[in-house]
Amino acid sequence: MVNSGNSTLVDDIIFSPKIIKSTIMFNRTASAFCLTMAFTGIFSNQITLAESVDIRFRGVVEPRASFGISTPGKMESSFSGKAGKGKDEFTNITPAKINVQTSNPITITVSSPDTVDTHSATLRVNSVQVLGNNVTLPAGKNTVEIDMLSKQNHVFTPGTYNYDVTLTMVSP
Amino acid sequence: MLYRFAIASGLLLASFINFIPTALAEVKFSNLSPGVVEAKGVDLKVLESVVPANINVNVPSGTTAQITVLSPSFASGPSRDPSGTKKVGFVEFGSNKLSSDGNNNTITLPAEDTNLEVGLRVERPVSFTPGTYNYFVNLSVTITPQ
Repeated sequence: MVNSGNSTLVDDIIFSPKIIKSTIMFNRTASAFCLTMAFTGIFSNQITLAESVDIRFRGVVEPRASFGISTPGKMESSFSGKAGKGKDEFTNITPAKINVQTSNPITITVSSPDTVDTHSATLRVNSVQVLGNNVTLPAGKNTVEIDMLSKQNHVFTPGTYNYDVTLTMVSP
Repeated sequence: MLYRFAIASGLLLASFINFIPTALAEVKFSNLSPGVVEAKGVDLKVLESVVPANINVNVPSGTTAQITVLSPSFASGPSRDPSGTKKVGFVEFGSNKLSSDGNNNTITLPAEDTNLEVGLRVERPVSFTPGTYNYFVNLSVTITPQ
């Protein structure tokens, strides 16, 4: 039993280094294999390729200008002077209004009505009084108001009167 | 020793062989036709595509491809986009619709050929100055090996 035990002990001493060496060799091979697989896995799974392209769009924006719906103005007559030499006067109590939409600056001109002796029509743009009969409007939406005054040296015949005022837009 | 070296070399070679075809695979774009935009409304604040752009995209088989549409970019025109301009790019294929302004700006593309319809919408807080405008919509496709 003792010899057998010694023999076993000797065998262990002889063979143990080989077993350890084999384990180391196996570990190296396994490590190389694992690294290789990891390398393959990393590059196979994480590499992404990106491609991009620019798609072109082209268009021409044409200049535009338009009048909106107009609101008529209202005038009232007033009498002044002595009997037989009276004067009539129409003054507006409510200005006419119209919206103007333009894509670029335009000049707007107001004409005066031509059926009365003395008359004038004046413009207000966005509530600001305009001097003269024309004004340049900026691009966008603007509200134009028209005030009108009419005088004559004789008495108006009673009745209803209508006057037209013409607005003209011109692109400079 | 030699056989271990041979095994390691073989495995490395195999990994490269696996990797190289994947790296060479790429998305191909073709048949690109540009789109046409037009100003909408009386106030000319909106520019919208009236003719969509078309492009064919080829996704190599064995890959997974994702397409992303980005917000349009101003290229040229009489006036630049002011602050507050809203720009949206669109892509359509089949029943799929992508929009650059939402969460659905990315989707998976099928393998092989797909025809894409691309559109855009630009809304400014002020009117577009009359003239000729150019915009670009960028499409980005990424592919990943399956």
